[in-house]
Amino acid sequence: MKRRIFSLMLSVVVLASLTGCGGNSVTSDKSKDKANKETTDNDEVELTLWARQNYYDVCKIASEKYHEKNPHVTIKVAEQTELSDQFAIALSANNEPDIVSMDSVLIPYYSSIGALTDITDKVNEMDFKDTFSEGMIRLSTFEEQQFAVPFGPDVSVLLYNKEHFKEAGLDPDKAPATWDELVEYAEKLTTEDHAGYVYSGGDAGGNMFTFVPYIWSNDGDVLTEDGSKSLLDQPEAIEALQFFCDLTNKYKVTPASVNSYDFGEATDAFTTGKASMVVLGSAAVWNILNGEYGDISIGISLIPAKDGKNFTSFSGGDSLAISRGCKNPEVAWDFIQYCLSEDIQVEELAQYGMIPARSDLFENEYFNERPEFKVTQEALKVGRAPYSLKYNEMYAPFLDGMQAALNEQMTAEEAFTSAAKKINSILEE
Amino acid sequence: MKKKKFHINPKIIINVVVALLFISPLYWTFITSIKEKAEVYGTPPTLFPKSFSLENYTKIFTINDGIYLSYFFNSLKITIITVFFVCAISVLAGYGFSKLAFPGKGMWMTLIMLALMVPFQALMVPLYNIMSELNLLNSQLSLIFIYATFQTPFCVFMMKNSFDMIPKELGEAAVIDGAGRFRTFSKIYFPLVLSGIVTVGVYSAYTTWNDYIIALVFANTNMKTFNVGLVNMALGDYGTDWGILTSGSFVGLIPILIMFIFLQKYFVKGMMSGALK
Amino acid sequence: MSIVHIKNKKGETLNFLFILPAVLLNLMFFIWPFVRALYMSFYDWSLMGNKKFIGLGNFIEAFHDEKFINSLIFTLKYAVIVTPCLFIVAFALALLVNQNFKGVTIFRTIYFAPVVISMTTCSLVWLWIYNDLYGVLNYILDKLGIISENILWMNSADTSLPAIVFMITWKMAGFTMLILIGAFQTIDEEVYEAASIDGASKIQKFTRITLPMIKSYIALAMIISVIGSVLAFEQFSIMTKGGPSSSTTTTVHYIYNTSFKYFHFGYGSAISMILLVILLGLSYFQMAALKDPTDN
Repeated sequence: MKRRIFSLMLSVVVLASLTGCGGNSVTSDKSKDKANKETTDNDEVELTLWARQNYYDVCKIASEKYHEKNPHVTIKVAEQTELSDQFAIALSANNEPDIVSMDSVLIPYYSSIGALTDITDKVNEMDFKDTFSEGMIRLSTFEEQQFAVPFGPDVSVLLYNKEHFKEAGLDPDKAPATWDELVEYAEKLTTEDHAGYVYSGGDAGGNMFTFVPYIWSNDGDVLTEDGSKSLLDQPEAIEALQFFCDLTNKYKVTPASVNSYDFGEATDAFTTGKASMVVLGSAAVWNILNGEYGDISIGISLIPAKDGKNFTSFSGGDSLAISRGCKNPEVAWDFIQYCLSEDIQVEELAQYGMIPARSDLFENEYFNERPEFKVTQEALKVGRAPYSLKYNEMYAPFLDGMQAALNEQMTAEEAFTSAAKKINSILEE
Repeated sequence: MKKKKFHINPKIIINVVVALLFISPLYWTFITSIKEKAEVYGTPPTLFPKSFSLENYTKIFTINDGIYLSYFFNSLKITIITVFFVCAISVLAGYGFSKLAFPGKGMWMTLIMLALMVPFQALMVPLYNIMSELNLLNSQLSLIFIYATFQTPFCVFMMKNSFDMIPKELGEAAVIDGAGRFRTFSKIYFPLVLSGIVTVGVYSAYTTWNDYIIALVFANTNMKTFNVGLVNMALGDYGTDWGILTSGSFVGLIPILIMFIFLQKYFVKGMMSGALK
Repeated sequence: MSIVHIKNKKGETLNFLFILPAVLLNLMFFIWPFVRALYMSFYDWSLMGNKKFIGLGNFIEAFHDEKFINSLIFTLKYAVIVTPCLFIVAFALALLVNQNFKGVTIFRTIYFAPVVISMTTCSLVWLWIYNDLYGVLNYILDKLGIISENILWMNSADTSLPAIVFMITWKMAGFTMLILIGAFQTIDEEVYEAASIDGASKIQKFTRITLPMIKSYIALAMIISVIGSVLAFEQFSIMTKGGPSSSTTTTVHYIYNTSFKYFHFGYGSAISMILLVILLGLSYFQMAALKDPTDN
């Protein structure tokens, strides 16, 4: 009898607590219904914004500052670790946020399926629309309409360890500018204790950021301008791959393990002093300069170009977009404009080492103090990214091919020729 | 019981050796969490810490106004409720499958076991839609239901096994004495499957506590669980904060281990022989 | 095995109540989404409801999909290697801590502790340990003189597979150990004593008494373990990223990429169904092989 009462009580307790925590579940969805009715300037407006890790803090502060100026508007900011996955799932259930700060290379896809609101007219009205980098604007465009606006750029640059340079007898203020110089420096820098040059070759995110600029500086590309065909089978791209294979297999300045490194591992290799040079994003620069990884004296430069002439960079980072389900696009746009204002771009981004999206704000007190950021601004000016509606899918054969070549399972030519074939068939689907 | 002479049980010696080897990765994790940052990123790696700092532990609980403390208690609450829920359901169901008759037993068992064999990734989109339709998104309740659903197969299977081990003579004796269905269950069978319940409870506890993907997808917007919050904090876009990751793992380890140690006494052998007599 | 002597409708309905909560949960939060996923598998289904019915199109494509087939081969290879490793170690550990001598709790806890760490954290920490440049394992091996050149653990399936198998064995053996200890506990001491009186040796006691009596527990642990390794995802996604050249991509990793990176949800559903059928087959086979002929 005792046990029976016990189990009965247990179930009551469980049920009670279940209803208890079910209670606060409903609010977030109900508020969307509230916002459905016609709103004037004075009605309460609540919008949701999802941001990736890097830009969450900025968005949060922006929403707080905006709320002070516009007390009837509340922007609820949520940090999503796997933003694209979560956004996709939410879309499938009509549950997407009103505003999203998303990886710029995915904007073409989401625009093409109608998930984002057309903001062409709104963008054209902006005074500073010409201050955005070409690369980022291109990514926000689909069929000549604008669906997003650049917000927090992230560009790839070369970082090097000044101490190692000094030890190797190299000028710590002069970074390699050509491919030949890169090899020359790396050979001097490769010792028993550290490798000359590392990069992230293990996943698409790392690889595109740190390798593709080499193709560009050789006047090649991954895809044609309109994204319809792959250009990897062209000699320019193959040369770049061959160069990387040589770094590992011929000059032996890069360990073969970079084939499996993501950004974290490449960064760790550099910050633990096990590598002298690495290509990383501008967001990493700030963390390292700030002593997040212990004391390490670093220099920054643009990624070495083939003959020292055509410097390029991979321009990724976040763009802001209004999703198609947004209940109040006017207010959303107003907030986005605020995010592009000096208040946020300089006070929140630049102050914390992130490049502003607007070139007219590049001259600011924070950046003027640190010469390193001049480099990142230069990189943004020459920054670009491949444009594709099937970004992730088309990148997979690229990565597979590159890794096979680096592991000497295929020649560079074989690898990229077969990759191009696969990519073309994917793009044709 | 063997008579203990004045020699050490050789099993203890072997255990010590094996345990030391086993614990070495955990040792490495622990000392990393108490080293200073410079030493963590310095080379060569130090097997005996040269520095000492509790900053990683204080960071977890003080950063962002101690929001991680709220994640911790959030997870604790969800875990406790889920464990009780799962234990209750699986004990009842395990008993039912093992000892009672009703139509379609095999079919129901197969349906329940099926849930083990489908990768969660395949169900994410439809399940998310369902939770959205039920207005349960971003609630602790949705997590509890999902955890319970996917933990039940193993737990029911485990409990059924435990009940199967008990010979029917015991139940029949009780029935002869006039006990009904529930009485037989609670007085006779329940005490004998305690070790099974312990296994189920511990399994449910650590599976729930360590979950990442379910909490990330179904309840990440308004609240986070400890594991999701920790991974978020430790993994930046570019580098991993080893200090936070290792200290956070230890903090996460402790509640479950305490539960495990505490429940060890229910793992006792020989309860059967007492009952038969 | 039924003790209910009144086999009437009412009796059976009341009996059913015992499994009702489990069944309800299962129907609402597994079967229902599963049916929807199955439905999706017959469509070319991308986001925003642009769907096209293609019948068995996805399934036919799967049989020609080299990447899918390679992922299956790799996944099964991994399952076949890791399962015996897990069981041998788990058995050894269970035998070490089966009896209640002083301090056994500490040892059990140490062997069980890795089970309780999240897979994400475990993979990240071991990835760090295994790193060729700054990882502590290569450092120790070098200092002990076992290797002269850094081992690039994650750079090829030949090294990364054993490395990950080792890590998983360390991590999960404690769980199987727990089940086995629980199983050992169900055997009455008196049975062993009776056997001793009859002159049975330790090994005979183990093979003739212990093993048969815990057969169902072994079956349980093995099925769970095999399913778990066939569904492996996180450890590979974090440590090898599925590479190099997709050589260590498990099927679930491929399903994840297909759905969430390439946005082919219908195809992703279809290959999940194929995986399910494979798992059903494996589980059925295991249950048949381990079935005790005296079971009802």
